[in-house]
Amino acid sequence: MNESKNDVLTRKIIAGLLLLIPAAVFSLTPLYNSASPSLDLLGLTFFYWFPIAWLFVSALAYVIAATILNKLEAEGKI
Amino acid sequence: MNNTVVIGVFLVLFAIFIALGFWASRFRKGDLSEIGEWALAGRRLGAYLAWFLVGADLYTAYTFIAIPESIFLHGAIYYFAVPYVGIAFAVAIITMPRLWKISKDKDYVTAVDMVHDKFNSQTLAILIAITGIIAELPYIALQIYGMQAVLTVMIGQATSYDATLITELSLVLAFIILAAFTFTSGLRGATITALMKDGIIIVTVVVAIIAIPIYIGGFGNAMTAFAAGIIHPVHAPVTGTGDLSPLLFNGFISLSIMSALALYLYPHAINGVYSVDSTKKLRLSTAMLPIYGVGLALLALLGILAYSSPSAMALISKYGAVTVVPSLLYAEFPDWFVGIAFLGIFIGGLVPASIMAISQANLMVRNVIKPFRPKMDGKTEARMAKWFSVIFKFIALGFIFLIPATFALGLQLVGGIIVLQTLPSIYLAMYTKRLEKWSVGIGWAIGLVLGTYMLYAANFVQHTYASISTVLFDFTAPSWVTFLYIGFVALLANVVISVVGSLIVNAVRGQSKTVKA
Repeated sequence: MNESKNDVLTRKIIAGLLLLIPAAVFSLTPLYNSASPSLDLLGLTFFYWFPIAWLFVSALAYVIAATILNKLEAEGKI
Repeated sequence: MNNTVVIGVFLVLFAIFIALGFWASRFRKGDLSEIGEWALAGRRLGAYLAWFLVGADLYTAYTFIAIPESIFLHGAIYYFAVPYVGIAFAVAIITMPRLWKISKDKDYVTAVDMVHDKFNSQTLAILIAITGIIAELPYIALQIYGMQAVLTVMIGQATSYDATLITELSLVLAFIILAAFTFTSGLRGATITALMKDGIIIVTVVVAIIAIPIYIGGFGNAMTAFAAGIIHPVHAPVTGTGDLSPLLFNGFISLSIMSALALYLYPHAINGVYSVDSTKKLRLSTAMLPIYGVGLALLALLGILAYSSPSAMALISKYGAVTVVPSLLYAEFPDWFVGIAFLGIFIGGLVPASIMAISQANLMVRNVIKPFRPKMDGKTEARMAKWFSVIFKFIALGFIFLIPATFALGLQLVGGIIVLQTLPSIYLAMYTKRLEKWSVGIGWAIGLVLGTYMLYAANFVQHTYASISTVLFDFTAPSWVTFLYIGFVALLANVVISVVGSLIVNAVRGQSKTVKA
């Protein structure tokens, strides 16, 4: 009983982190406002291409989070 | 360039678009004289159609016209739109299934139905409904700017005479057609035509973003010319710090987070959520939406690439920065492709305008008129909603005169300041029963007054612009705050008043019986 409760909590936390971390990275703008030309891609600076790449990572993380939440919902736990 | 081919392709595709719009009334047939069928497509959209419908709200003139224009003129700060879409769907996955479930259980058709019930206040519900309706108007106006931009380039290039009159007539004609099919097909029309629109747009974006850099030789040259071409000194990158001036970090972050919080407060977005047939599909389709954001980012980059095309720059100086994407496409692509792409951008404004007007009409009838005419039957409601959808579209036209085409994005960002003030009564009320109606109402009012005042001060006191040209407030004291999106400051005041006020009232009353369980 207790174990399954913990298990539900863990799954909720994982889903939460999968939603929160991608969003947080987007908000840490100074991180990707890089001046280094070595990070350029096809002449495009890091500031412009990194958020695009991160959109793909976010979509993947969100799909996993959605799947976890959907499963919890199907089990009647949220 | 053969302009007959451009216009010919455009018109043929537009005819197909209209036919699809009217045919859609038969799709998954329901009784369209009922408001739920007309405005919510009978709540029967699956994950993929829902993805397209909600995505249709993303690929709008905001994406094709306003963001590229602002980046073209002012640079990196307006790239905030990419983090914005990235964050928005995390917010949506957390909040929207909950709203969907609460609404399903209690038979709500709008978020305002929930506000009414949670706070047990007719007045607050009406205020929130009107706030949503008003916030939607400048967003529709932005769509009109987008459609106008396409017509300006297409018609302007085809004739040596002043094309303003023809452009305006075409715009009015397109609007009448839109009103007619929104009237007959409702949300079904918007969803089916959204498929066509997104298909065309995706092809255009992919072709443009691959072909133009290859043709022009990478982003390198464009980036150099772009850095030199940005107008406002504050917006220019500081040497050695990357593309975004550190002065603008707070502005950039507040714009992206606030836009993300605002997106799903808009009536049209919530309407899209209600049309999905289960929370499971809602979560999955929302989770995939950041992929749509990639298209938005690539379109934003066209605002940079334009700098490397001399013929595009010539068109932009003739027709204005609002035409940056149509001008670039016209300058760099064969005529038939330009016809297709222009149609995509044009209906990219029309379809969202339809979706937005449907959601406004739905709110107006359900939450503003119905309380005064409770005996109204379903057929009367639907008929009234259809007429309101027409009226709102034409009111939106008026906003064009308020904010100039040089800051089309400002329309959406002003809408954001307004719609954010509904956050406590919609998002917060879903999670707590302790919010109290008076505090939330006063918070709402102060948020709106403060937002309006700051918008005025930022444009006409801190600067002396001729019209609304910025949504960032300049905080010189304390200086580390630098610039902030006005929507953030107004929302902060609103939330603090709502929460602290509720705590005080609940403490005084001793028990939290203020909100209906």
